Amino acid sequence: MGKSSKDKRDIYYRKAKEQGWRARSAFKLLQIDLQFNIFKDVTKVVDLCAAPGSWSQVLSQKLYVNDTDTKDNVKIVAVDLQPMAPLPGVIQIQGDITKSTTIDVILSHFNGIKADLVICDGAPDVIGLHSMDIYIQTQLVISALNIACNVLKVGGHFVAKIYRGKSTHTITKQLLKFFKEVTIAKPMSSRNSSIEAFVVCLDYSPTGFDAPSINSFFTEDTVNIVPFVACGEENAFDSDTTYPLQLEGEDKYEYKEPVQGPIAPPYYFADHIK
Amino acid sequence: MFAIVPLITRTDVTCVSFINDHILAGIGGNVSIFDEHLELTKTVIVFKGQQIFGIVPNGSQTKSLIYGENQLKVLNNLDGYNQIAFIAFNEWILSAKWINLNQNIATVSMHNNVTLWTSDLKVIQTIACAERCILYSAHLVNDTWEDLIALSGTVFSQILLWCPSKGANFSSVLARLSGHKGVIFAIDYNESTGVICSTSDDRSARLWIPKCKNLTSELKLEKPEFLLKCTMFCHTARVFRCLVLDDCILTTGEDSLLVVWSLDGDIIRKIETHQGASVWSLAYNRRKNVVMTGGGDCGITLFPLQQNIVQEEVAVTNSELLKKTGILSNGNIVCTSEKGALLLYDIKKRHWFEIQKHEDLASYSLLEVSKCRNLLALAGYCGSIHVYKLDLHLVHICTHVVSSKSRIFALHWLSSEQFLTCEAEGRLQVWSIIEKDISPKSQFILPLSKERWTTSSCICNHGHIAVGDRKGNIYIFVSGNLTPLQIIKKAHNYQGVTNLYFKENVLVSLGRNSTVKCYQFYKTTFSTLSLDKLPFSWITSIYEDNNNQYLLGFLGNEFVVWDYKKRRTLFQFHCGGGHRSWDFYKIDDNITFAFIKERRVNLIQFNSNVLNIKDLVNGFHFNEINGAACFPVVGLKKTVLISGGEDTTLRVSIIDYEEQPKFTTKSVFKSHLSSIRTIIGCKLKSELECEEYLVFSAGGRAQIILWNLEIVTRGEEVVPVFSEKYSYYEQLNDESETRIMDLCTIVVNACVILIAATSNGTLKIFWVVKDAGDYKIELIGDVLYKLKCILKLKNLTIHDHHVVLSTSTDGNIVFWDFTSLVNELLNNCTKDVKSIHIIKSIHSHASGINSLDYKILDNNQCLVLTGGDDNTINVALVSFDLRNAKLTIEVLSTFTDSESHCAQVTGAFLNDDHFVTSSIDQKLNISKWKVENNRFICQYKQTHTCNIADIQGMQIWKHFNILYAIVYGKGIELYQISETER
Ligand SMILES: C[S@@+](CC[C@H](N)C(=O)[O-])C[C@H]1O[C@@H](n2cnc3c(N)ncnc32)[C@H](O)[C@@H]1O
Repeated sequence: MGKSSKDKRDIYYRKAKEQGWRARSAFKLLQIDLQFNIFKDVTKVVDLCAAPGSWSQVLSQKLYVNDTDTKDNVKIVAVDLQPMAPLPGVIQIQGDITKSTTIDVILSHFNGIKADLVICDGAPDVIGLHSMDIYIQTQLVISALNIACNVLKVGGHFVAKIYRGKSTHTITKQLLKFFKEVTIAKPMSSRNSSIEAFVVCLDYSPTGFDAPSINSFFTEDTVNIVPFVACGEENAFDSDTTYPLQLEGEDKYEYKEPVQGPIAPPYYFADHIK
Repeated sequence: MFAIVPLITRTDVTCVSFINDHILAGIGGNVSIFDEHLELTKTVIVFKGQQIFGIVPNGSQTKSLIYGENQLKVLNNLDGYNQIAFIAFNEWILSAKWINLNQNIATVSMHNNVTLWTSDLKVIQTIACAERCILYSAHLVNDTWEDLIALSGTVFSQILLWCPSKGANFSSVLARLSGHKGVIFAIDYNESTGVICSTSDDRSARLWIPKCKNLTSELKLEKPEFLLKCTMFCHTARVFRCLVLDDCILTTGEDSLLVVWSLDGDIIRKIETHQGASVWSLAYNRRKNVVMTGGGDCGITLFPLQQNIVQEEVAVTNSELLKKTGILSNGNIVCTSEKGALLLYDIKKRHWFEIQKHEDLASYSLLEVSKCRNLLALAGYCGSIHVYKLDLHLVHICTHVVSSKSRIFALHWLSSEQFLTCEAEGRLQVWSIIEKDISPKSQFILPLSKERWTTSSCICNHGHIAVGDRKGNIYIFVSGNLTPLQIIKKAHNYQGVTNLYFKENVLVSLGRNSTVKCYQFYKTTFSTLSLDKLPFSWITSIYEDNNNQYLLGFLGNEFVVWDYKKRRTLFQFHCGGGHRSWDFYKIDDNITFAFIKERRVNLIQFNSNVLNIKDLVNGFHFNEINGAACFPVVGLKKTVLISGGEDTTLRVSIIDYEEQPKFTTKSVFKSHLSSIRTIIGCKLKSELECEEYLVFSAGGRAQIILWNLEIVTRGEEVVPVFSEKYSYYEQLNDESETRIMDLCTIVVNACVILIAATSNGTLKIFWVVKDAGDYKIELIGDVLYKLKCILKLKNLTIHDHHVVLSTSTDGNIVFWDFTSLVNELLNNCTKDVKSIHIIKSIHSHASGINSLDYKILDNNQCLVLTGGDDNTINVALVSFDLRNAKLTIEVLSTFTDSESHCAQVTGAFLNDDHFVTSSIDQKLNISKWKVENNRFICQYKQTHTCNIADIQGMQIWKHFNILYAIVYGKGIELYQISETER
């Protein structure tokens, strides 16, 4: 297959390269922001499972505005298992977010101060057994929630990728214990055919007693109670559509290399999910 | 209420186990039980949708502990596997073991905790490992809580060794095995050898040994030490499972290979197991010498581990150098020597005899054994031919010298009475054996070519003889004509045709280019019927035995026996390659492979059991199933199912729900270039004992294939006759990445219009044309919706109008008017798609609509049921009206349910009084409905949890007044749904 075939199949992959993003995921965060305005008044953010770093790119673009005052206040901490190419203004930590030692390192960067936003785009290297893949992905969400509960200021926000499956409602139910508003968001850049979606949790309001529980198993009694929102610009591209390479009103199509290839051997932590 | 009874479940086999004389297999949340005759005797529903990862018998094999995800259950093996205890825990169980003389159970969880349980699943205590992290694998060693050792495999490439009984709440790590470069997927330990095996993401398996050779004693030392014995590479993908046996190691995983290693890390054997799908489960039974694997293709395979191959080089007494070899029907070996002697090795007496010396065969000889193996022909450089026959002994029948005195380039047995020889200048001569002599029959001439000699020949029907040459061409001759009737040029590549067979009216040719070709004789010529590519290049012959068809060939220096039906290697042996004389023969249970190596004959002998690889459960699709069509058989409780998906194969199966539900795949087709997304059928005719359908399958690369399905019934037996008729795919300037997402047909007076929904937002409209008894698809035109991927299609007729419903990623249901196009087609007018227009568009979901069904009610109203990516079910009640002969559509009311599913709704079905939805959340929901005051009312709802992950769709049909449903995705599940008294 030709090298432009992925460009044909995936408009966002192509657009990410054209616009200088390290991954197509950038569009997901941008589209979520469009709907929920999650960066409003935000200066301190933890970006979990951040490699190759397109979300961190979005964060630095949104947070480092020209005002020196706020510039000094900005703190972006990015964490991933994989090494990540450096980004100016982003503190990087290489570690497993499910391990307590990593959590300690993150907290050490927030000595006494609190974060306004915690985001997590975590995806394990899927093995092909849905039950296990979804469970492990959910553990990343729970670890991220746990970190959020440690660093987030009251009123802060939390956004995390989830894989929807038989026990999704168990997770959303738990999130509702910590946040006033929980929504399942599907950015237009995330495929219709993918089980991926994002939980957008607004207004952190801990009750004081509960710590996140690792139990995320399917229970029969619960029903789905959180709303679903599709987000994206009015005329956003549709990630399932096969677009012609040459789009009307655009510069002449030209194949472009990826912005920042993976640093670690691809098979170690590649995101295999469709 | 409804009774939803699952009848058949085929999905990933995540656990297999030998218990007593039974085999237990975990398929979804069910355990299938097979008896000693390998018959399925029972299916126990153990969990509700949780996959089973472990089946562990206690020491006396009277009870079994079953675990899956966070659930645990103990079953009584002695009373038909009834439940003794059950618990839904709050952690994911990775490994479990009966300890303390079966009084207790110990488990390790994914969070690196060990829990001690009573034998009826009450928690006694949970001990956490001091290292808090996520595990992918774990293994428990020793039989008492005091001595219990946990080996934990982390995400970060380490194996942690710790003793849960040492420590109050937290137990520290006593030793670490580091070296892997990725997640640890499996760990096993062998008590008697002290070997630990671990497998990983990094494609390797590693063997470790405690310095003192005993794990328990080593861990008691202050500084336990472990040696990395070896790192074993062979797998081409992640290694998911391993077993350490007393004398070998087994590993298997994502590449579907099972590798047998010596304890030193040398590869002993490689076995292909599950059509390239991941292997999820592995077990071994020493007494039976059987390895069992369960895979991602839904299959379970059994095969003997020890092959007990005997290899010997049988030296000739006077150390003559041998040239050619063959095996006779009594098992004795014949050879020709460099000096022209015909030698015989008596297998029983283990002794060589010189039968005859033929000076004319010195330094050049041909030796060919007839198909019955009772005749032997030798031929030489100066035109001599000698024929021998095996009666009690091998006796000389006759000798003949061809008049040209030409070298005999080749000799091929056509039957037990006839053979064909090839002389210089392409002269071919057929000979008959009459009494004690041979007499020349037909003669032919090979057309001029560089290497003008034959490599194979066989008799076909109508007096035709097929001959293959060194250049890859096949010639068809008929008696009386010197020159060929037909030349099949380049049937195989320049390396030549290796063999020809004629069976059941089909000519089969083998080549050195990995291909097997079949040709059918039609009117006057042979034309290609099929082409099959195999995973080894040098294919030499077909060996048939009972019901099995083996292909013999060479892969590099290895001799390969390949199962043609099951498509896998059964036996592989290093012999030096195909450039040698060899023979392969089976008598009773003994198989002999004789070959010449360095001018000496080598014999490989083994029991035919070695080739006896058995599928306990046959493999099915090895990836997600995206589309399925069901064809209930008239008069029988059977349904023909045609399914297709990501693995690009189309499979024809029979579902039998007469008494014991059975599922059998009849054939597999590999015609699609890319994944299959949708399959639909349309009925052509229905007669007693034969129904005929047109079937369309479509998917990636914008390919659509038209098939013909005939369902023939003979008594209780159903024979689906399925054949490819036409493949449509646009060879654009570049490879098309457009996917066909769904299809529907409008059938009016035998005129079939096919509509395809594409990922580039257009509807493609085709016309199915009948052309000289065959069908083809002709494109009429494209209609652009918008740049939104269209997902589903359905059509309906109302007020004499043809309406097509489409749904897409923008959450809209669109009604298209096809009436004019249909009329133009019926009246043979010029057809174009300009008349197709949108009547109405209803926005009903926040994003993509993945399932669609409708039901036309009285008074021209219609219910449209949709399920979306937004986890929501929507029902729109619409009314159709004719105003000035124009169809208009009005939405009267809508009903929305966003609570019942928590993932994409991918299946929807609506009939007179029920509606059913299915989703990726593995729920199948059924409700009763009614319409009152133009409102849709859902009456009561019932939920069933499915065993199928990633459900992509659902099909429901009524047969003998019973509702049957299948859901498909990662596997397939069939249910019988009946309404019970409230
Ligand atoms: C989809 S990618 C994230 C893409 C990123 N948001 C961006 O925009 O470039 C998922 C990431 O999760 C990371 N990951 C998976 N498991 C993790 C863990 N336990 N701890 C930290 N990172 C993890 C993977 O290494 C991978 O880089």
